[in-house]
Amino acid sequence: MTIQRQYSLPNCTLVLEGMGDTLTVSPSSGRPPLSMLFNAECYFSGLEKPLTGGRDFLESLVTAVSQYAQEVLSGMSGQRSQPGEATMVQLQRLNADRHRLVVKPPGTPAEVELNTVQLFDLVEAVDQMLADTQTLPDLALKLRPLSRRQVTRTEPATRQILPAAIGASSLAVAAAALFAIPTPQIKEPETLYPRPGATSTTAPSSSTSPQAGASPGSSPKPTVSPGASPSTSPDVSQLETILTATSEIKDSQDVAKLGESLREKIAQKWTKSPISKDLVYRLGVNRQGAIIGYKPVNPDAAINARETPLLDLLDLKAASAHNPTEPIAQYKVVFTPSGNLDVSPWGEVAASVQNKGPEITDSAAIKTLQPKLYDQIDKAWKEKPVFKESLTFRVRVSSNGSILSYRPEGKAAIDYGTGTPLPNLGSLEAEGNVPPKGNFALFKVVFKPDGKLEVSPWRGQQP
Amino acid sequence: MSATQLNSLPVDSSSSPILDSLPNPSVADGICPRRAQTQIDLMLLAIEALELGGSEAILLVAEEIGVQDIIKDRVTLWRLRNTNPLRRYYQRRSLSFTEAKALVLVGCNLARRLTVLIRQLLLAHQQLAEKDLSADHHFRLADYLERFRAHFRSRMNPRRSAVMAYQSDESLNQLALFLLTQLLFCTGTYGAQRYWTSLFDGEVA
Repeated sequence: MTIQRQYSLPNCTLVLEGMGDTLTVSPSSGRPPLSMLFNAECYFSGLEKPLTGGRDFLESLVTAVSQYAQEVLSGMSGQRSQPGEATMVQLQRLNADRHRLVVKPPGTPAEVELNTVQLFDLVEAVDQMLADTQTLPDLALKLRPLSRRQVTRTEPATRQILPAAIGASSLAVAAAALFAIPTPQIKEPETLYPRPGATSTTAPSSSTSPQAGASPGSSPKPTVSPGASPSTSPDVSQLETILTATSEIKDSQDVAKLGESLREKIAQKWTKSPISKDLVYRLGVNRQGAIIGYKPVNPDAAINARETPLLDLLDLKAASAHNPTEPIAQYKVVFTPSGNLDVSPWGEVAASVQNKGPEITDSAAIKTLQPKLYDQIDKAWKEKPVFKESLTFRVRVSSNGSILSYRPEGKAAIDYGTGTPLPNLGSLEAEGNVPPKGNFALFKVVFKPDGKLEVSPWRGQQP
Repeated sequence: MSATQLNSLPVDSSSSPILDSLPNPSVADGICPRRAQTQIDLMLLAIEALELGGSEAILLVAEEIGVQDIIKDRVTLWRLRNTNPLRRYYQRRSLSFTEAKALVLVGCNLARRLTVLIRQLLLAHQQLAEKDLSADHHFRLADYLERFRAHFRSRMNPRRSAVMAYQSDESLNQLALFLLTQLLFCTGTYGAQRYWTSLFDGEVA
């Protein structure tokens, strides 16, 4: 009885025909071992005829492919084959991305050019065959590192880390004929998180990310685009799509409450490792207060993300269970080099950037207002601090430098706000208050337990 | 000596069967060569560039495949990865085989989960190269390269000559693509074995 075995990958299919060793066939085993090979065929997509041959061909193919795979991995070539090993099949490197498979006599001469993914499919077909204990059990994976003496050539840069520069890439093998054998899909690996669906959906989100105090032309309001991310459980790398693809929690009290707990959560975990510039992030939080997505807003934030506790706080479970129809609240979170943490509702940031009319963002104007504000508060602050942690306020200042209103940030600031001179200098911004008319600038004012006062632009230092 | 003290000693490789799937190569001193330490860290760096939250995933997978005794937590992982001599915070210690195997198995496991993306990016790169177009024409590829460059620059010591060789975007892109190819091979049936063996090319007697 002839036995056929097939190892299929998207670009390569290996088909073996042979028969079992009658001595070892036990009637109980469902899949008899193929121990004697008649014929081996190796099909490539885009190649009309398969490479074909007998046991010698297959052995030579296995050896060549296996050794070449190691060469690609380490970037080092050398005499890997043992003396006496068949060299009917050879693989040559054309450049970083292209490889040539050559079959020489006594085999049927042939030549195939493969790209790296095609090469990998060939390696994988061979490895699946080697791993199959019911097919040619005498063939097994043989791997041995090159010895020091064996290394004949190290691709120049590998001495440092990696192979040499990629040369000009040659043309792919012409897809002359249709692939003879229907190619089954590659085994889908179970993914840690559901696989990225529409990866390109992240593209628009980056263009809508506003810098703090962005130019008036930009429209940083997150666009609600239902259906942009149909997958209900996004990949971690897709977290930022959550920010653009879901609706928002509208109730301002809820937003304030969630923001409060968010600030505490982050503040608890932040180790305040040294950073050199403000790190600005946009965060998405669900109704339960879990952080389900974040996106760096400035370049430093992208590079230094691990200096912040955001990765630790990211709730992967909640993120993957997030339903796009469920509204989220968004916040702008700023970590400053001085160890300050700012949390403000994103919509507010976006809105105030948008209706730029009244807000003063000109850095020169901010610079002149800043010392005026500092002096006013410093002079008025006479009480000895009774609070144990810093109190942070957002203070609204008119164009002539007088304080219009203020808003406590965080629980401590709410509780101890009356111990500061602010209530005498301006009015408390409360829910429903109409913001004062006229131009204004926003500052962050911090009262420290040791009596220090810090005043800085609310939007961070502008370049 | 109390039992807790015993537990803190390095875990013997024989205690974890999954680690035995990778052989101990016959290198001098029985410790990982520097090149292997560099490669392993860079492989994980590439995974982090592919997937947001990659370091979180490393810890999750370590637990799943039962090497959490070796890669205990964030701090341990940081220490293991900083055996890469190119790192800013190079720890001046070597990886034991056990530690290196655990990192390789975790990396290969993660690579397998990212198979579809890895193949997509390599094919995209190939197609762009054929048309003489830059990676900027493919959002996901450009994103990966950019993230890799940012990770590399923020974590590697720019004063080391091996790092200086990667000052330009172009050279870092090539490194990122080479690592992507390595990751592709790691996704295979014998991916971990092949990758592991390749780390010792030119290092054994």
